[in-house]
Amino acid sequence: MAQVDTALETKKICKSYGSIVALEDVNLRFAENGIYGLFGRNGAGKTTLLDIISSRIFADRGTVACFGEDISKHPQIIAENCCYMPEKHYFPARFKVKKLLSYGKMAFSNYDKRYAEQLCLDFTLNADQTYGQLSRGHQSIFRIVLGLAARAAITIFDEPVLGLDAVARDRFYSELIEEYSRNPRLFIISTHFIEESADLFNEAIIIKNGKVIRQAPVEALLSNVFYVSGKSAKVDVFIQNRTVMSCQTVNDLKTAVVKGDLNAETRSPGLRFSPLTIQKLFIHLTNDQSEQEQLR
Amino acid sequence: MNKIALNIRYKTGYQFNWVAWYLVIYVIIMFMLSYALIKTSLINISEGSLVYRLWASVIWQFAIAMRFKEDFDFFLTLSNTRKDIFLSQLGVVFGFSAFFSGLIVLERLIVDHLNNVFGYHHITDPFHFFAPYGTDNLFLQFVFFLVLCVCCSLFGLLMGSLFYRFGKKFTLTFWLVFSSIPIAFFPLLILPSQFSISLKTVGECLRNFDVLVGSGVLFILTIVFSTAAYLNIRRLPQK
Repeated sequence: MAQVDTALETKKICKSYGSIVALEDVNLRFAENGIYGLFGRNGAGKTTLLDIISSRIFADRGTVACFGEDISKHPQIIAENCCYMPEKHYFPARFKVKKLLSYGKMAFSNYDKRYAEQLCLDFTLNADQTYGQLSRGHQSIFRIVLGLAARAAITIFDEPVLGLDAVARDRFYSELIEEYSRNPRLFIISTHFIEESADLFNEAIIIKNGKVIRQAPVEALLSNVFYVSGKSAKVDVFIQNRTVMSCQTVNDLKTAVVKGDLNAETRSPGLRFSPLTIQKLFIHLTNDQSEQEQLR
Repeated sequence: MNKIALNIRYKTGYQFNWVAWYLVIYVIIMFMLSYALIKTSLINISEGSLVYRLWASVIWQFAIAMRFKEDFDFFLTLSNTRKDIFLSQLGVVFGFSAFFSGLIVLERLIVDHLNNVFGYHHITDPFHFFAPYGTDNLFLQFVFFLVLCVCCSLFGLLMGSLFYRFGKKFTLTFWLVFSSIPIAFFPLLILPSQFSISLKTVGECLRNFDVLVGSGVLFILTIVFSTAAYLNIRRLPQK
């Protein structure tokens, strides 16, 4: 039985394309309010997962529940509550932006037209241009505008900042935070821009080869992992009997990523300790070379 | 319900433009050209007349309904269920079919009137004369063309959704088979007369079938096509 505050829940989702396994036993739970970051390398299964959650495609096995209802039996529940802006462009190129936004008003019951107009101004999106005339960045902005203004209970963005310049990306992150504080709801955002967007997320989900390898609050993920660096011999002594995620040696200096709490007892003299960023953690968790190094 | 209304608004929004262009071109080319040909005696006036052409718009409606991919992708992005998409397509098909059926009946009245005014004989060429035009019952004529348009559109919708599901190879195969049907008929036309099917026989069939029975057959086909299209669309994954 799903918890009351659970907006979305996936249970044992599996999906294959021929012999390629895209998703394997994916179990996730998304609260009604929160911003979730979905991270994974190219081909890890992020888009497939989002497509299944939003009922664009169907899982081979497993279920997706939206507010406690199975979406395969009640597809209207996801249609009424979800606004999914996919990475792929599905908007007719010959339609003007303002026309497409007017369809958004009819499609989403909580759609805020004024907010959409304001966002167009803020992002310098020309509503009189056709969708096909927009640059790649402005097409992404259009999806951001529609996604935010839709005010759906579940808002999903797949690579929302693709093609955006640094200023526009920063504007999006600020706008997302402001919008979330005004109208709290569930946001799921898949992105490769982990470092710059890390502060947005309440919770991070990391997918590797179709499997969820981490789902936890960002602080929790970073709290039990740290860097240790120093002379190789000293580092080797330190990492003995500890779980090491990866090691790198340059001349006589060694840096290791170690699992565990970094407290006063842990710290050894002559070694340097520092916390990991979410991006570095992601790299260490998903990089196959790190894994091989660890095995060595 | 709101989403079905949205879909209908979207589809009619761009289809009405095409309808307008279609009708403008139709009026200009069909009427003016026919009239000019008659006036310049390029064809024999005693055999010539203005003819009913608008029923050929069923082919256009079939082609429009086959443009399923764009609609499906767009509507899914606007959080429609597949059932919403199917019902809205159905709504648009019925709306446009009723509109065109009305125009077809209107065209008949206008053409008959003009032929009387200009003193032309009603043409009896089997390819220009179609059984529904033979009936005096305009309502029956309307019903027949309504069912014909709906049937052709839903066949287009079915094929469009099947193209979407099975991709390019299936589409190519379908068109190869579809376009080879006339070629397959060709030997039948050039065989010795006792084995051949003459063009006149085909024309006779078009001219003499029972309109009520024809409507019934088309209605059954409509049910078959719409059921098949719904079964395909209800579990159709986005590509």
